[in-house]
Amino acid sequence: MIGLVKAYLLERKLTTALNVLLLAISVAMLTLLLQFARQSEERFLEGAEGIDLVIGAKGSPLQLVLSSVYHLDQPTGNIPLSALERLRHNPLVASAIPLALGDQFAGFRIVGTKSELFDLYSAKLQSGKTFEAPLEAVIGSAVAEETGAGLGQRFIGSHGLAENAEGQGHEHTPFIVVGILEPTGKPIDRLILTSVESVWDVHGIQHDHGTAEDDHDGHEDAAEAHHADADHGSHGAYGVHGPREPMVPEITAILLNYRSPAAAVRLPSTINRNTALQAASPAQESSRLILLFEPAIEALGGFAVLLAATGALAIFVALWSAMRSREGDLALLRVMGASRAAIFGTVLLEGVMTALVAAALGILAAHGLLWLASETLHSVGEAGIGPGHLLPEEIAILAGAAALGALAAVIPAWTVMRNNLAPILGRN
Amino acid sequence: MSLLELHQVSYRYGRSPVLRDFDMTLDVGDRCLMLGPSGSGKSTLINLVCGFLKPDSGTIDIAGQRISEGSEAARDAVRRRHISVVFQSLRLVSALDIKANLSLAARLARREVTPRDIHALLEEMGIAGKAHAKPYMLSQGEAQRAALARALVVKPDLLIADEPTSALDARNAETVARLLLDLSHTHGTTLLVATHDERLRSHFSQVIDLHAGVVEQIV
Repeated sequence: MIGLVKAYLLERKLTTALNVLLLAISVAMLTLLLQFARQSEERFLEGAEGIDLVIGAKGSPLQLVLSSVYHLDQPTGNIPLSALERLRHNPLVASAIPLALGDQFAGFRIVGTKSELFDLYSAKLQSGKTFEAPLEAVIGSAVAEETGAGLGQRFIGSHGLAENAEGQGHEHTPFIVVGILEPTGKPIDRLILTSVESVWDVHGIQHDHGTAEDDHDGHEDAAEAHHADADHGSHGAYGVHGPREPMVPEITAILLNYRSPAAAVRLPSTINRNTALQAASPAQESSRLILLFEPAIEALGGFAVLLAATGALAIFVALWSAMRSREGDLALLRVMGASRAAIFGTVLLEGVMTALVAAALGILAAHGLLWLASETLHSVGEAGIGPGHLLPEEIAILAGAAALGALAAVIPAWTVMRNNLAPILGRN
Repeated sequence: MSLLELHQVSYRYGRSPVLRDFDMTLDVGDRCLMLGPSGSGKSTLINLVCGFLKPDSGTIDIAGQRISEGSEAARDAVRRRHISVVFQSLRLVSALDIKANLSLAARLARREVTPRDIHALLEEMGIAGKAHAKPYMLSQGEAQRAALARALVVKPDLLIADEPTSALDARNAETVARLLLDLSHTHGTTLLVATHDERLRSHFSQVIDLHAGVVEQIV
């Protein structure tokens, strides 16, 4: 009977195509929402994987997490270097990695940190070595790809964190690329990593050796070169200071790992209550952010379901009118030996097939659109959204569409099945 | 040996009797014309023989199997095994080509039919070149032949033709009548033609004149 149903659908090409299109649009919309929500959630959770707590200046905890873990927002401010030393000696802390933000190159953030950050994001060197000497930098895979920078390439960082930031460049303290990371799909792909001391040097901040990083030679030279004609405006974490204003070494944030689960209970509340610092949990803040999106996603999902119901109604109307004109054909099938159940099944199959084709096309279209958007829209690619893989929920959408098709067909199928053959045959 | 046997069959629509104590017997290989004006009960008789309707009284047997009683599924099974019907206008499934129409009929009747069998039958009908044509692409004569091919592909014991010539001119009516008789002879099928077309009388040796549900004359 599948051949017959296919023939009936192809006989009314335009009606079938329009019904398929209507339902496919709603399925595509549902799939897009599902994929967007799931991929965003995954990217957020992946990005924060291995980071138990973020310490920074007081302010919005979400902003602190966004700026320090995902490198999306402006930092809340700087914190004293001494905080890092204190936390390193805290028995509840397994590791503490400093971050010093403030500059960018071609829109990619320059992050002063330690090479342990690579492990935090499970990043491995694709070529070169890690940063050791002052002004050496390791770049993420996206930075290398988009700027075309290779090993040995020199570049000058600019003040501010946004690509279009109008800060001055640090012409006297150019960085040199000494390593390129393998792609990870995490925020580190879009970062330029260097030592914290190099960030201080670029900004002309005098510092002792062996503080945030092990001994390095030449920091004084770099700092002096900076001081020769430093004139900073407002730019990121190292934003507000004049040319002659004495600056002390500071960092922007600290990424912590707990030594034991008990630390999760004690450490954040102790820091938030008793110090001038702020402790924020990436897991909690990510969940909070996802929750913020939820009402909008639910509203759009509701609209898509409404659209799907309209599609089902269109299938019902098409089948109902087709059954009126196909009464004779179906009577003939009965004469030839088809049972009433077979007639019912034929009509039901027509509704189900229409809906299944529409759903499959809708899901394909959604994945195609995601791929297209990730290839052509910078912000989508940057957010780590791609074509994605088939989710179990999409199988549920297919099943739901089939059920909707069956529901749309059940009344026409029932009516035709109950038809009395004698009057129909008599009419003809 | 009788293939079709109607015994004292009566049927009424509401209060109007359509058939009254109707008796009829067709033996294997018979070719019978049932003549009667509109409303004489021909269509009702076909519906009863096919098992679409149950008689108010009397019995109908086909090849020894009772089609006038039992469940709809049982009556469907008897019809599927023994009967093919060619209607005046309900001929072919519009969405399928001719070959697919024949395959579908065979599948529904649960008969093993090969593509070669279908081709041979269409060749016999002179419409092999139209195997992949949709019904609307055929002339009236070709459509009629295709409908006959669809009816015969299931190798029925009894072929019923309902008003096969009503819309045809004398020449085409003559052609169809001859074709029906020839095919029933070639395929060894018992033939029952129900019509009001007097032009067919001369082609049949067995004629039942029906008037208001009563047999007026059997020749």
